[in-house]
Amino acid sequence: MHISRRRFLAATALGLGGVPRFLVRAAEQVEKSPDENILVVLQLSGGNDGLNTVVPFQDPVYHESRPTLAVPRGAALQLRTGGDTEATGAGAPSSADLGFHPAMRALHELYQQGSVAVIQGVGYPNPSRSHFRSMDIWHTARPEVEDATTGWLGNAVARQRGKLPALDVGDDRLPLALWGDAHVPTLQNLDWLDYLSTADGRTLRSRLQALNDPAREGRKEWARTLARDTLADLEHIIALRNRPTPVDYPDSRLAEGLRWVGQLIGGGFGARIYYLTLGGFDTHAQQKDAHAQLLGRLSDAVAAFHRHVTALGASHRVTLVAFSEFGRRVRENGSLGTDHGVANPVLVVSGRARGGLHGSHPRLDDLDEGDLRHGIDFRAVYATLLEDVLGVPSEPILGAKFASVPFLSATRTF
Amino acid sequence: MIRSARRLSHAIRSPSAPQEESGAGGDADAGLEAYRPGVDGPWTRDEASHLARRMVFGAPSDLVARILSQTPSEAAAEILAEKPENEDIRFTSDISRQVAGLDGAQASWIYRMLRGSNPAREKLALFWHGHFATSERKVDNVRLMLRQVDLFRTKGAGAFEDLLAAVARDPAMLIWLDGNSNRKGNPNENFARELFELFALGIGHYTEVDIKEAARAFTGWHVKADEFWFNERAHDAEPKRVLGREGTLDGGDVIRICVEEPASAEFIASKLYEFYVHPAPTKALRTALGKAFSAASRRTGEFLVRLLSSRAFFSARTRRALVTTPADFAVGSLATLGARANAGAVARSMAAMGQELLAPPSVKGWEMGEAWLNSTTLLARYRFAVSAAGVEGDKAEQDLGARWDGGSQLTDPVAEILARFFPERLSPDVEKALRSSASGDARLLAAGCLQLPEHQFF
Repeated sequence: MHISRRRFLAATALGLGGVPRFLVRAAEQVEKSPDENILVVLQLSGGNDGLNTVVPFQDPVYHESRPTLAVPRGAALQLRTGGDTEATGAGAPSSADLGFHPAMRALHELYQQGSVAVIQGVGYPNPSRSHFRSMDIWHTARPEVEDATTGWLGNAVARQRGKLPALDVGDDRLPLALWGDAHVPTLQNLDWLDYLSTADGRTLRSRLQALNDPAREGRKEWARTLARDTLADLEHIIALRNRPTPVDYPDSRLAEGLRWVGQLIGGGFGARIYYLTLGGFDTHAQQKDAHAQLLGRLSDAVAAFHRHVTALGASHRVTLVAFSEFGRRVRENGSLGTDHGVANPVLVVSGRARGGLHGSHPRLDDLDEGDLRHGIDFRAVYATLLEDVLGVPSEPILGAKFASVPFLSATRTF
Repeated sequence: MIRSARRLSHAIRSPSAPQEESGAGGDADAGLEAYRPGVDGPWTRDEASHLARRMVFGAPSDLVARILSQTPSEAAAEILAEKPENEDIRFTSDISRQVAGLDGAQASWIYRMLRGSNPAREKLALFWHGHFATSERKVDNVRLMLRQVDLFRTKGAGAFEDLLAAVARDPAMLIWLDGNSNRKGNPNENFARELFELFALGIGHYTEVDIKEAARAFTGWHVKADEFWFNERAHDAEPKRVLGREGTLDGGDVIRICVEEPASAEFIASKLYEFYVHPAPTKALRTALGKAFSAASRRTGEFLVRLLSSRAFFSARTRRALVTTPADFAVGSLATLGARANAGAVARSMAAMGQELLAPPSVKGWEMGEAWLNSTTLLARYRFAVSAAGVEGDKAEQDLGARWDGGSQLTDPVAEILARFFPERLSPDVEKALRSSASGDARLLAAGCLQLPEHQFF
């Protein structure tokens, strides 16, 4: 029995699943408009120490709780700006008392230019301190469902039926956030893709083309079609990859991944969602240097990416959001590190960000069993991203209505 | 720990491809009689390779030669029979228990698949690993994961009831399905539900009440200090009613009641058929398979030997009817080539192809069939092919630590490699495209064999 490609595509359009290929063709079918927004999600795995990311450097409780890990008063990069509008809760540190970790110089520069929104004290009720469970909650956005098998972005992709292509960039398994009833491809093995774009790689690609030249029948023909589609997509991706990058990126895996994303955006690849991961934040011991290095890597790579999309004239279309499954406890532990905590800042970098602080910094003198109390539900942040960036109604995905957080300018200025 | 074990397919999910129409016979002729070479069909390298690919990994040429010197049932029985494991394997297995993290544990299993004396037992263990899919990501204890795989090795070919009873007491399984929170008065249904739905019966052969009652029978089946522990105080010894049977049932009773259901034999036998023979048995064939499983006293090994030497197994429609799994692609291709590689690197490649050993995506195991193939996993297969065949010397070393002599010992490497991978012969235009893309280079030819759409089915 032979099922034609057309019928096959028709079947998948019914929502039974996406075409299991890179998304070039699906993306080409999306009506292109110059103001199509793009979401770049950056997952900081392991539980980033938010208190040493956005540092309440004036707070005596902070210094007292962290005798070896506290960022010194003079070292933090101050977050006070001219036009601060944040509503500071009573007793909460204000922008004059807060600063980025000194390793985040590059992001601080962007902050001063107004391209970084810091959403403070983000969490959810009855927080889990298990990496798995808490990450699952952030991925599914359904803490009330224990066995959720689809993610908030995967659900958005499935809901939009091919109009919201997503791409995972990384070597790990597809994050649960992207699971859903549509195929989301992973651009993995970036060094392999780079090899494929060399002269040797080109020879290999043409051999692969030749192997798939003769038509087959039945399921072998299905496999051949998949191979030919994949090779065609690969040509496209490599062509984008070989375009010159207008900015220099630092030397790190994250930077390499973000450079790919920048190149794909620059070439009009068409994905609306990109997903990347930076691991290593589970700093139970000897945190100081390791955490500083991670924050530096994060800051440098994200700043380069922002410069890249700015040079492409796309910074207003691109919103990067960095989150972690939880923060760390306020008090450092006996191993010069910190243990799993709860509420944490979420960082947003975009040309359309309403730069500055949003929400109030959790108070250090009013802890919940040694942990910060969250002020903003992460699903409210998702609501903004879903509605203002992706143009998807948030309520069906989040299971409830969450008032969005105004960290993006509503009207885009080009 | 509340991590969900019920998780559906994800990265590797893809739409179903057209199934070839099955031309199975009716009730009268399920094809489970022994295949008679010369009467029912030929007995050539093609049939022998088919048997090898399905029972072990790939078609190593020495095994294919040995199969041809035997009858089909002799060959199947000998391949599955347990042979003493060599020192080397015992040593690496012990080491991996002592020191390994997940990477080392995966590598030690791959090593046994590639170099152990019992590849057919390893393949059967992989089947049971997918069936009783337990993941290190929740169990968080590599030694317990490896112990569970050992269970599949030692009991996987024996009576299904014994295997199931051992799995129900297996510490990794108890952690995976929340055994310790299953207590009298507050039963946790996780294990009982999966026992019925996924492990022993299949949907439609039990009720929600059966699950609730069965969960009570397993109360107190806990794990303590990495061992099974019957916590009598947490056990509910009151009468229960499961699948129509009443009494002060305990977990062992429920397992016995389960496997005695005719639906259970059909469920397990059909799943074995789907793994080893063909992805879509007809309803009539499922019934016949269940009967054959019962006739083999529900002993998996006996059933498999009969199934894999049957007319149905050697029929035309079963050839290349299964999508090559990452294990068959990676381990099988190396075995067919006669190449060596770094086991840890092979495990990582398999993960890139969508099959991370000891970490299946959910309690349902890996989604088989066309779901293995998508753009991402296809590129991972292409990469593996280049490395395994040593097309780029440095790159191969770097990626896989692959060592293959390039067929330099063979008189006609190109013809021999083609015959190893495609003893049934490729269609003339495909063979022509393959030969001309390789232009006489054995390594290019081998890589091409792995990359062909034809090799994505086995």
